[in-house]
Amino acid sequence: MEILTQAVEENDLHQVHAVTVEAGELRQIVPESLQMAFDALKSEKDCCRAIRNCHLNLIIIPQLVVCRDCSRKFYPEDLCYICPDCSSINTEVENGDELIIRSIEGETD
Amino acid sequence: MIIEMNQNIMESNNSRAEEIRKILEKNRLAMINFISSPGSGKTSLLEKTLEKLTEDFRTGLIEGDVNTSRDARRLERFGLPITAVNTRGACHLNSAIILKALGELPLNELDCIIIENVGNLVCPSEFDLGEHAKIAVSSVPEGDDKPQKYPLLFREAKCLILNKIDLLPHVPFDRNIFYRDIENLNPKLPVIETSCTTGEGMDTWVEWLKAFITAVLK
Repeated sequence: MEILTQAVEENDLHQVHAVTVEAGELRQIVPESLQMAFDALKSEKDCCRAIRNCHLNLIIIPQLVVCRDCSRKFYPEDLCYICPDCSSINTEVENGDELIIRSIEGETD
Repeated sequence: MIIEMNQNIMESNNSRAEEIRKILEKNRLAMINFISSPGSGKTSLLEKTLEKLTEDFRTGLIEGDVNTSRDARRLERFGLPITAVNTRGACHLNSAIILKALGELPLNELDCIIIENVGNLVCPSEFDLGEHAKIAVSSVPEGDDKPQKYPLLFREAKCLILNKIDLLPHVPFDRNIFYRDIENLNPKLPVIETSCTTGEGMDTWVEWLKAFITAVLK
């Protein structure tokens, strides 16, 4: 909400139609809970007027793990982070732990 | 019109965590964050740990508690600088809370700070507190399925303590499943089995912790 309010002020928006949030799978976001929290904040007395009718688009980003040894990129089936090709344990989560506001859609006066 | 934001929602937490890292570096301090579910034996484990840790390191404590200061009182007997943080219902500590708590500790008289997070396996793992290590504590009666259910904590942790192993003969806990899941999730994660009742594993654990803190302070 803080970030949205700031964006409203910076861009002189009079109405924000939608906000797109990207949440990585590892964040274990429950869409219904996030929606409920978002709705609750929108109906708070001090909520910025331009956000009151804002729609929330939630995109869940699937995990993508990259092997540092053989560069193979893979989805960790059954939460297995060992490289399926070379069995390396030297792997890193490339996608799937983000939590970002990607964009907002709004109108100026 | 569409405005590209690409802004991290955790930004306000992360920037304070950055500030904390600078404070720790300036004061040559190691900070360790203990995360577990309620009732895993975190406070008992800390009691046992502090008995030995304080032989080598001047230690300060930040005690997170949802509604009371009972845990802080349990640890008072050590006579260490301690800040009790009552989160008033919130299920985790964030970097703003830690930043404030650090202000209440005599940082230049300490070598390390131990944070006991609020008992919860979900939210505390999400928040960067500027710490050097998150330590996950899991206990046998909780079941062998915790790594599968709460992967983020087991991915983020630098060490995992499997506590209450004296109860293994009495509860259906499949060690193979637990270790297989850890092996898949985070193959580099050291696991140390402990029991605060029998004292088993405590030496190994404290040794690990002392070595870790020594490495940070170098």
